[in-house]
Amino acid sequence: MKGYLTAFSLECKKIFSSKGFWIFAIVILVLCLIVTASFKSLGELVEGMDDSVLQGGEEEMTAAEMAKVYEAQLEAYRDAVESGEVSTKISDKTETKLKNMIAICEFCAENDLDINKLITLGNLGSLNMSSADYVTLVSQITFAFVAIMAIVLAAKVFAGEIEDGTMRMQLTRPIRRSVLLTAKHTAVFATTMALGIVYLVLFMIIGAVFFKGSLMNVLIVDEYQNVAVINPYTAILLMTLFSAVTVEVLIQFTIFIGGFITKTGALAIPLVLYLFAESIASLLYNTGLPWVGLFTNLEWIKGLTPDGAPIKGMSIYTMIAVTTVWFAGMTAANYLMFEKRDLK
Amino acid sequence: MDMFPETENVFVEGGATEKATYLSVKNVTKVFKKGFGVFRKGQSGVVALDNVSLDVKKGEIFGILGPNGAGKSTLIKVVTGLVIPDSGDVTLNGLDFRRDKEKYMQSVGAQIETPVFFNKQSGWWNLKYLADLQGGLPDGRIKDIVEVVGLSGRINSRVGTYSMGMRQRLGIAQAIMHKPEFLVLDEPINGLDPDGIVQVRELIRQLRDDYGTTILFSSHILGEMQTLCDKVAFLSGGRLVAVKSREEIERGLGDAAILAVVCDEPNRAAALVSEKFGYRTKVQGTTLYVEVKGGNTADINRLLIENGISVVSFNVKKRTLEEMYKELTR
Repeated sequence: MKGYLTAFSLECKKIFSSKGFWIFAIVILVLCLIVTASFKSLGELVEGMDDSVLQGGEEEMTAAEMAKVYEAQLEAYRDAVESGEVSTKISDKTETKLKNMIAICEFCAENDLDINKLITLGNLGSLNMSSADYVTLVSQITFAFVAIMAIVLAAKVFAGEIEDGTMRMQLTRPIRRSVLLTAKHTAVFATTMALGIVYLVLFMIIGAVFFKGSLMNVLIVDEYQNVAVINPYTAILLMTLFSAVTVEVLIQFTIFIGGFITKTGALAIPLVLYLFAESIASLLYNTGLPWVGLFTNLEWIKGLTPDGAPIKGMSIYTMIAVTTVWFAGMTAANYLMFEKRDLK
Repeated sequence: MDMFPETENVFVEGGATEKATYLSVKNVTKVFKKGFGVFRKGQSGVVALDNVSLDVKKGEIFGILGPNGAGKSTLIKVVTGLVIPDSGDVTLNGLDFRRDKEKYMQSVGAQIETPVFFNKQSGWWNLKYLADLQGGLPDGRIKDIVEVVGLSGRINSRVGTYSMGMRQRLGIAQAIMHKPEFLVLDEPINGLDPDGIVQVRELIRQLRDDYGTTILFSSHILGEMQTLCDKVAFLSGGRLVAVKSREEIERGLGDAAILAVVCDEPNRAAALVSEKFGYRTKVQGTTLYVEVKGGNTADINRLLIENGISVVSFNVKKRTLEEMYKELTR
């Protein structure tokens, strides 16, 4: 244990003393601050306009009234599809969206909740965003970059050090390979997640100061119109947790690949796969295909509703169990790979 | 200066005088196959070590000699656990690497091939990092070692700015800073200037003589082997061809010589020498060359004079280690 802690602290020290880490950290911060400034100025612009024009007077309505409006919209939409005015290619998703809004309104009406004090997660269409919308948006940007940073660091401390020979120097010390690998792995995870969490807290403060209201409860609705209400902190915690899973997946994959090929390959393959998966997920998101959710962190949160998991019927516990089994298998594969690896 | 002035001498006990086996390499075979693990392509590959066995006694300086690709570095990497052998056992002071890696490596100091460090960090940062991985060493001791290897003036500069010789010195510093009982040096004098070579040679001797450190080292410089080593292992094509002690090497070199005799009747002289001693001879002009093995060259001189041959010059050229090395690794 002492050997692990020493190696872990040395790896963290090494990461923190690298310029690359801080350059990445500054890039993420600047990017998020640009987003903040853009939305803040757009929000101020929007606030000066007539609410009824922008929001159709929705704020004045009760949940039950709003449900009727959405029902009417759904009816009109179905007529438009039948008459061929609207392409059927997008009809499923639009119909689901309207059904979701009706489900949310009915849920609020039944549970006596003020719909104007609730937001739906991922509903980022509004320019006049709330603090929760803001935090959700910038956290997604932050964690996407944190995931890329994790790939870069994992390739550097594993494949990079094997390639440049510094790993040889480390392994001629009285430390087991498995301990050194764990130390490197956890150090990359800890440093990148620490940065993500520091930024998350910073953005929550910025959100509370510069955007509308404090963090509000979050409504989650899945494609089967199951609705769940969770407090904003739980939502942010879950999002962080699922981002951590993504970061962990990428670190393990990068280390595994790094056992077989050069640093450049160990960096490029996970990076391309990650960006490809994220892009495909973004492109396919509006198709409403359930498996697309497997690529996106955001969809995992729907495991909190009965049918909303990426695979229908999976509960959040099933997802955690699957993740744990996967984690154990991948960890064993990495240890085996490193124990058998010759350092020529 | 003394290398470890502030600490007790842990090496003296059972030191240089004790000749128990310290490192034992038994039937080690290593084949580098193409690909990795399940992705290996067939069974063909490069045989880096072929059933190599050797024993290094405590307090010995043991050299490994062989041409490029002979398996010297692979053997050193097997001993330091960097390369996993396909078969065979390696034990250090009775400890098996696979079972007791931490205890095994606790007593090892190693410099493998060209020393590589974190180039963007200073020499001191690198030594401190490796000392911490070792389990922690006082700054005072690291400072003393830096002085011993002659890097005090540049230790706070980035390693990326170091010359090859300075890297070698830093490599030696990291290998000896924790007072290892067993030191492995792979080509330690590569890139060093003449002063550096002398210093390293002295350092190796001092470590063995004063601290009883057992040293395994490889070098391409044959003279270095002859000067420093108690034993030399000759490797060729992954096979251990011979292990010779310093006495055996000196005797081997002393016994074999080429005699060049300039005389008036070289052909008659060649016949006489061949008949009397059975040595191989060759005549070039007025010079007779005789390949002498274990005999007394004075007897040849006497034989020629007694038979009325006038000898103009009589030169004995002893066999060099290079020639011995070539014969053994041929």
